[in-house]
Amino acid sequence: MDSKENTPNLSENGKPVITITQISRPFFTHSEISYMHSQTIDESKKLQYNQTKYQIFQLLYQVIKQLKFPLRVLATAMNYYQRFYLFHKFDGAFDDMDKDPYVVAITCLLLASKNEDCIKKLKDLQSVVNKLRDIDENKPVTNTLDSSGDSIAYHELQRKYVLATEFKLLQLIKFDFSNGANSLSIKTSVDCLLVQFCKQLDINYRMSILSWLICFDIMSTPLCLVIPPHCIAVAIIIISLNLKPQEIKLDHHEIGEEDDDERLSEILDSIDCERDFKCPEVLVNEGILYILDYYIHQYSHSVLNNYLPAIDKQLGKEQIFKFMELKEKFIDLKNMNETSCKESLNRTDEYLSKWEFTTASKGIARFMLGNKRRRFNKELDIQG
Amino acid sequence: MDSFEAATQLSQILRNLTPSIQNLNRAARFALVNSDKEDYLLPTILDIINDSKMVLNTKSTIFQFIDVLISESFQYSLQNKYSYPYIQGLKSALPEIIQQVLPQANNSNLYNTYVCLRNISKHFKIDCSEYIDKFQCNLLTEEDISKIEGNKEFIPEKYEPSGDPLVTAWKILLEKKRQSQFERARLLKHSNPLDEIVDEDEMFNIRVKSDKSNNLLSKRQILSRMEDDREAHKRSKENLWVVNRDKNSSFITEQEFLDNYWNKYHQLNKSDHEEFLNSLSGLNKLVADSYKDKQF
Repeated sequence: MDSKENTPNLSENGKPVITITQISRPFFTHSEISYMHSQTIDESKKLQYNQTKYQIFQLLYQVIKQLKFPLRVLATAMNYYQRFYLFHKFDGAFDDMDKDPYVVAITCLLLASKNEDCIKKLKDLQSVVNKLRDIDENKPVTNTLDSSGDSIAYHELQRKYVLATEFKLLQLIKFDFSNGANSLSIKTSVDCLLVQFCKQLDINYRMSILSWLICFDIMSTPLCLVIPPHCIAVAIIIISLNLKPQEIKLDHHEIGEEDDDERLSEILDSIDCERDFKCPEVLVNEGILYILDYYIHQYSHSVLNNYLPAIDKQLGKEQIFKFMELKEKFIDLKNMNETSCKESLNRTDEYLSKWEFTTASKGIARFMLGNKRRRFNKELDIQG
Repeated sequence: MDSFEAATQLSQILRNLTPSIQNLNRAARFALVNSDKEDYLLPTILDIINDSKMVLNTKSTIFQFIDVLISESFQYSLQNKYSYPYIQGLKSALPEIIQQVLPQANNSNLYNTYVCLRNISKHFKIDCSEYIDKFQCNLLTEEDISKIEGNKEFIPEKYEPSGDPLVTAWKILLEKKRQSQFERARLLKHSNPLDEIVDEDEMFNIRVKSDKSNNLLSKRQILSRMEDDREAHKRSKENLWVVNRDKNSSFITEQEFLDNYWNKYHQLNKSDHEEFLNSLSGLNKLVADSYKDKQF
């Protein structure tokens, strides 16, 4: 006998009710992501999407600085923001709060601060964001949520939209909070894992901070939608130890770090990502290649650029060539398996299409974590 | 406001104090603004703590208020707004206060008192880390264990008011902790667990109605205490995560790495490391389910 009670899929008057089960998929392959973007971001808006994202992430950094949030709140907020536009149309209409990416950004920060256990009032988040954007929060605006056309203070209307967007966001992350501070008894944000790994490997201060700087750059990329945080952390460490720059502009130094080169090479050779950090190798490879590509294309905009000298002394060339050299070295790494992610197959997968928020109000939508799925297998079979 | 009025008002505030951070701050602010009348206000605080009619919950809240007051007094005096009011007076009264907040017959304020005393200790030069560590340890002696075996009463050691009052306060607290460990061990050893369902009223019925000593809590007090402790816990977590960053820098700085990462993380010992790896393996299960194709 099955002790779990089945959810009735008939309504009271005997008519069947739509039930949808949404299983959380925190990670997608690159081709799935580009397929999803093709559904939500028009070809003509691609550039605008990227520019807006860049501006918003810059703003978010200023916000977390003022509110003194740790970096993991920023990382989670940026993760949510990018996840949001996998399933939701990007219009880039700033004057319409229903479509305003800044409302989405505030919402992501709100939910991230809750999930990371650094709670602030929404009012405080709003006031910092609006001040940085030079918006007068108290100015009266027309209440677009109400047909009467009455006016309402800007921040009050914004608040209503943020809360409505929060419910949307929750559906889009499939109510999966497993990347937060409280799950798994360890902090699973890349920055925290990374430094813990460095300490485990006994990597010196200079290389650890280099890894941490790279981590900050990578935080704002969609890599967090592709591979899990521990694999990103190991990929960053491997790249740092391969780069091993002689010069980083730092105020603090550890005694003897100049003579540490040989030991660092030994550490690099000894790393076994499966054994030491439970990281599936193929996912680490994916991370390494992605990060190298990122620096090859974006180096001049990166934080790393501020810390490394323009010309690498050993190579006698600009830093970017070092990343290109490494790319060459790693070119043969085994990539992720994307057999089932062909465009034609993606089209038939409803999970990857834009999420209809009305589904949940029309019928029953149920959200669950992947590893809890088996519990409901029997029930899903009945529904055929 | 004259001294008498200020004292009456403070007494009123403290008698109705709830442990929400706003209320604690407001009370502390009142005491600081009127710090020129410290000679009247300090005895008021001590009178309330010593008042046998005050319920234990309120005494615990007042100790939290003392914690906030000491911290604010330091903070504002560093900005030269005051000259360290209340600090000396409260510090020398600490042993007395702790004995009132933790009466012989009841240990329900033990943990809250520990948290506050730990906060208070941070402001003074005396190194209290030894006591903080001890609080987490098993304090029972050989003698205690044989007493527990023989189902004998706990007899508290007389404390000698010697040395610094802060140290004395810690010693009293540790003695109370030992008592609580003793009583728990004795209870586990000599009484049988109940298998039957106990209804709610009976469960909460610790205090006999005729008991006027205020040493045991009534059902209403227990419930409000749960609410209050939740509030206090929230408060203690509120600022744990704060990261201060340089205003002049437009991107992340080395200092943040040094303060919040490099000096905070340490190599894990063997058992912690194993647990850490287990958590990561747990994460892998979620990860594997996320991809359509088998990746690893």
